Amino acid sequence: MNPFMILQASESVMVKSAEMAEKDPHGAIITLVSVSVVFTALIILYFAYTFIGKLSSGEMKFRWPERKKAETKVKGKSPEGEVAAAIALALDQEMNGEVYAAISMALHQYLNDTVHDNESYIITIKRKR
Amino acid sequence: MNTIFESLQQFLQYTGFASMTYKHAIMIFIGIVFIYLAIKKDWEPLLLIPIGFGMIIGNIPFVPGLNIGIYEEGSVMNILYQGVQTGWYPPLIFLGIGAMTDFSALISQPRLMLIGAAAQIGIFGAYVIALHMGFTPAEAGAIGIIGGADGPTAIFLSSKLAPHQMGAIAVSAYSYMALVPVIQRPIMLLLTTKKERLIRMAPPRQVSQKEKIIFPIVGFILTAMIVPSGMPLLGMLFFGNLLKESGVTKRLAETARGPLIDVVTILIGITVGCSTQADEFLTGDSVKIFLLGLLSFVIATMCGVLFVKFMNLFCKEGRKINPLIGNAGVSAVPDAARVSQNVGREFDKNNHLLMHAMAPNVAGVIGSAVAAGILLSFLG
Repeated sequence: MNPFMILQASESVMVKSAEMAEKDPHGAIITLVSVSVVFTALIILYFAYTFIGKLSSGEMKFRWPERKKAETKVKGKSPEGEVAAAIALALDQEMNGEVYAAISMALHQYLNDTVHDNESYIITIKRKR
Repeated sequence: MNTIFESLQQFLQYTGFASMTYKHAIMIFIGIVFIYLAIKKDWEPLLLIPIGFGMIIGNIPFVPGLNIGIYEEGSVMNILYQGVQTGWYPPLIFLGIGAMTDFSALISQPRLMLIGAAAQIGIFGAYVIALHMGFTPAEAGAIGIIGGADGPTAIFLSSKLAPHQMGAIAVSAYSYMALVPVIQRPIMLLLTTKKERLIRMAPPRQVSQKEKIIFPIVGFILTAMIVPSGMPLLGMLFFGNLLKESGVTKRLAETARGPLIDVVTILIGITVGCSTQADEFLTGDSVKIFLLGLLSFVIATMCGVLFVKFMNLFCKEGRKINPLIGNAGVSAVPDAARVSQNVGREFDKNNHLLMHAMAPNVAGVIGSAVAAGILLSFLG
């Protein structure tokens, strides 16, 4: 047995290699095609992951027409006041105290984002006489 | 008395000392150097120690016919070598790589993927030069893949295209992977200005679990559809990653990135080392392969760095990429990324490039598997 017999390339490799040596002796064609394919593959991945990333981070959103309508409807009702009232009612039934009314008021203000004053950001100093 | 002397003489003829040649001695010496570099310099010890010791095993001279050599059919080493010859060790290594790699850096900055593509030009640059040095296209393809800086891919492709040169190609690929810091640093410094080295990149965004799960599925379908011949490597890489990211196959992922990859690394290292028998290995072609491998690495690193500079021409201020991560386009994970980090910190101690460099680095793994698939479809 020839111990190095197993170290030869398969027949198809030898045939293809010989064909390639004839068709593309300088390797320019295989290089151009291969580099283009590698770039194409990774550019496609780039677009795919950019798209998936945008979807995932919320930069890009699918909005179905029906869902959009439903969202508008809810927005139109301005639920914050009702939520606060419902909380107040629930707390009132539970404990019947003024403290809970205050909590519900605070929640109402928080939900409407009216907790903070709007400052003018202009600082004036008056000399005390 | 005469019989005793005859038996003793016969025994002595069977010893390695009797058949020893200077070539065997050189190969055993190279094996010892590999082990020394692994222990003393900490250069890829997980690979260089098995390969180095394998070289010593493979170059102990013996009388043929004892059924002990790696090329003798049915011997223990020959059976272990089947995984290299038929190419099923490399995909198993890729399974482990997939299960241990975090692709978040790449998912969060997909544009850095293109650097991984640019660095693969090294493979084809070496292919062209190898053709002109007299190698056949199949041999040139197997040699060029050294530039991918991916040992398993180099073994996978050379086992199909040029099995007679697999030893030299594998040893060359792993040696240069171990030498990544030595080879890449001067090229990076040569091709970048001080201002460019100081570029700070925005931190990558947080990646959701859903994205991490989608990544291997979409990645595999797209790449395998484009290059079906790369399926064994790409399939195992992305499958391993899905095991890791799915969150429900923890045991399988741990096996793939732990015991399985360790076992295969031992087997691949020892058998590749063992396959470098002096008569086959110490030839003029092997020297050429080593030179071409180095050239391939140099071209790959240059293309990666220059491509980042090219990309920066189109990037707005604040979105510019530090060209020091260009070297990481070769797929020596994570060594090449570590080189980016270390060189970056030489010029700005607070500039941490590791996370950014991991993106082109893992893209390089995908890119080199795709390149191997293309070469296989042309020449296999």
